[in-house]
Amino acid sequence: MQGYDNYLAEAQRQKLSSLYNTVSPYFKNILLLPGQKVFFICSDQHLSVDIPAALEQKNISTAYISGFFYGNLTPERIEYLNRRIDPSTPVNIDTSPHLMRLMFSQWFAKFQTSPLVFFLVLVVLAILYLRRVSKEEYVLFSTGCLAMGCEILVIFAFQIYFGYIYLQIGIIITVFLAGLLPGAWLGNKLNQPGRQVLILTDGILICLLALFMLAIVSFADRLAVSFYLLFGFAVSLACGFQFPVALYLKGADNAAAARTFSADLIGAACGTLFTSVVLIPYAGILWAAAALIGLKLTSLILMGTSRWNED
Amino acid sequence: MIKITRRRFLYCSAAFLGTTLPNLTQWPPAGTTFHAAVTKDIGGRVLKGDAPKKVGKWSHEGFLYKKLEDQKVICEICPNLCLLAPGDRSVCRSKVNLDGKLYSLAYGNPCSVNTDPIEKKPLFHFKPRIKAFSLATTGCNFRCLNCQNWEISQAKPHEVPYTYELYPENVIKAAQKSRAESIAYTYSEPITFFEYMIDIARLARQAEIFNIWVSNGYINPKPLLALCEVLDAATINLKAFDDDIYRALNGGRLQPVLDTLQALHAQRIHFEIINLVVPGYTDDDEMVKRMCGWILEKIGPDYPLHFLRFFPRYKLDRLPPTPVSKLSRYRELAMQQGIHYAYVGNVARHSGNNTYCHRCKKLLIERRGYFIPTYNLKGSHCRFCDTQIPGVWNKA
Repeated sequence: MQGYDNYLAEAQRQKLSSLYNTVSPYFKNILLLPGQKVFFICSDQHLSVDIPAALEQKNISTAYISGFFYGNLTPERIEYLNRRIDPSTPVNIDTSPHLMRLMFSQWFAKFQTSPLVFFLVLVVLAILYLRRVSKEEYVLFSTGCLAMGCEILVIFAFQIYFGYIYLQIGIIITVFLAGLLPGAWLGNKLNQPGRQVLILTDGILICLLALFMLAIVSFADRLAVSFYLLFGFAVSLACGFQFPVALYLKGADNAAAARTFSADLIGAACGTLFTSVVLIPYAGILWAAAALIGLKLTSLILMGTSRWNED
Repeated sequence: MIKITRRRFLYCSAAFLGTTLPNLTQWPPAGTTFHAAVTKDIGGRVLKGDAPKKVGKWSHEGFLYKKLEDQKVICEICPNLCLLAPGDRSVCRSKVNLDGKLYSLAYGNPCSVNTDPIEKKPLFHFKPRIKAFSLATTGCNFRCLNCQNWEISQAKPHEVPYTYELYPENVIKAAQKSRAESIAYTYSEPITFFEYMIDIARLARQAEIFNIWVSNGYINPKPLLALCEVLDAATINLKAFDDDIYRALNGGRLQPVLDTLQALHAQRIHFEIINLVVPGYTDDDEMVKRMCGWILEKIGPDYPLHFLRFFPRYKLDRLPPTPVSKLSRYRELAMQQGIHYAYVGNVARHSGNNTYCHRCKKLLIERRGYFIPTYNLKGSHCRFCDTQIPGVWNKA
């Protein structure tokens, strides 16, 4: 893992501690060797700090390793690093990538900046916007948010469990777009759809996400690639389906079309940012999915209660 | 099929080429100097109203500063000459003005303490194989984009949570306990903890421990002369031989560093020059030639010059490491120009790590990492041709 030269800064310490705590239940002995790269040596056998001496015992020439080792890996440096490991740092697991959050912190520390102001501005703008939207627009806002959130979730989960997202990112994004057209076509086919259609699709989206959570918990890396692709297609199908229905309920003139489309896009932008920068690093994949379900529940409740009121 | 008229075709072509042609001026990618490298000044600024409210445990009055009207002060340690109103913090982040007095904030409070081989500084012509008790506090008067110790050099003292309490007399005891024959002021920028450094150095001189200064050399003449009284050796980082690059890559200026090299030469302090070859910034053959020319003309051929390999660090973590062939070429170039001892650093098992007699060209010191398997000096002379080798050597 990336190391340090002469001072172990807090963000780096937390990263090393998280990894240390992650592997420590599985090995009796863990030795960390400091340097520009920190090496984790884990074994149930006894671990010796003096690697050149161990190599010498096996008659392996150590001319270079000794020179490097005795200059950089002094007993004080090794002791300093191992002493500064924090046992209370959360572990890094597939569904809760704690290291990612720490890497964000380190990046912000490096550039002496913070995302806080940006997010505050974003939250204020989002609140101002949401105060002005209609219920149908809010449904599309939350759907856009959920759809992009799901896409980010799938991308992260895929990378975590398969490790080769570069080879599949094109098809994942494609399936998240591919369902929009048939969804919209089906939505258009409905004769005078009511609000209950929006409520139903909201319910379907919630069920899809709940299914995704269940699958991750139950099968994790045993899930087939096709599951992620089918999930993406189903989510986008529901999103595409909701759009013409909401538009029909809003009146289907140019202004209504512009407002509903905007709501969808603004929701998508918020969903992407919020899921990738806040939800996944700080809450993990499962809780990020739960938060998206929570968001969709608000839309479902809003539509459900407004129908009761109007009736 | 949609037909297109000749006029429309020309309009569309002009529009397309109009947007893409300007980019062709940068194609093919040529030259070795990034545009950004010669256009910006990244130098630090005084931090207004950023000082702590009161004097802290590790505060110590500044060594050299001028008091002005309205309780303002000017720190005179380095060429930044920070003008601080009460409550302001200096560019290096380690000095503050509290009620019209200049304070250093990290006196006796190092954040990094290690015992290193002297070869790691790097000092190749000063007492080989001795150990250097090395320490640093936070702070730097530069803003190098490639800093390898940015976590401490670009931080304020209170922002670094894990530190030591080590006053000068305790530093001497700790160095003696670790059997280090020298104390190195290093890692961040020791100029920013000048008060702490010079107090340790004075005690070290009394205790017959060598003082080693590893620095960017960005210091004013007066404090430098005071330091020279107790200094035994220095490693000065000559980051580029171009003022524009100094401003863009390091946030400093070239001339004060050159003045430092000349002052050390005049004071007969042994020093070695390091030049980190950063791709796109300082890997310019002509600049290397000019640098070697200046060294030969102003301070002579005997000061070792180390060309260090750059590795991606800090804000330049997207650049590739320096090609080894380039470092080898610069070493050859420097020696062809007349520099007696040019080295290649940060490259394992390279012949440029070794010392060869400048007269008979035979191997004097072989280095494998920090390990010296071959040593062919007799006192300060070549074992083969008896030529005196510049530097400070162990007795025969």
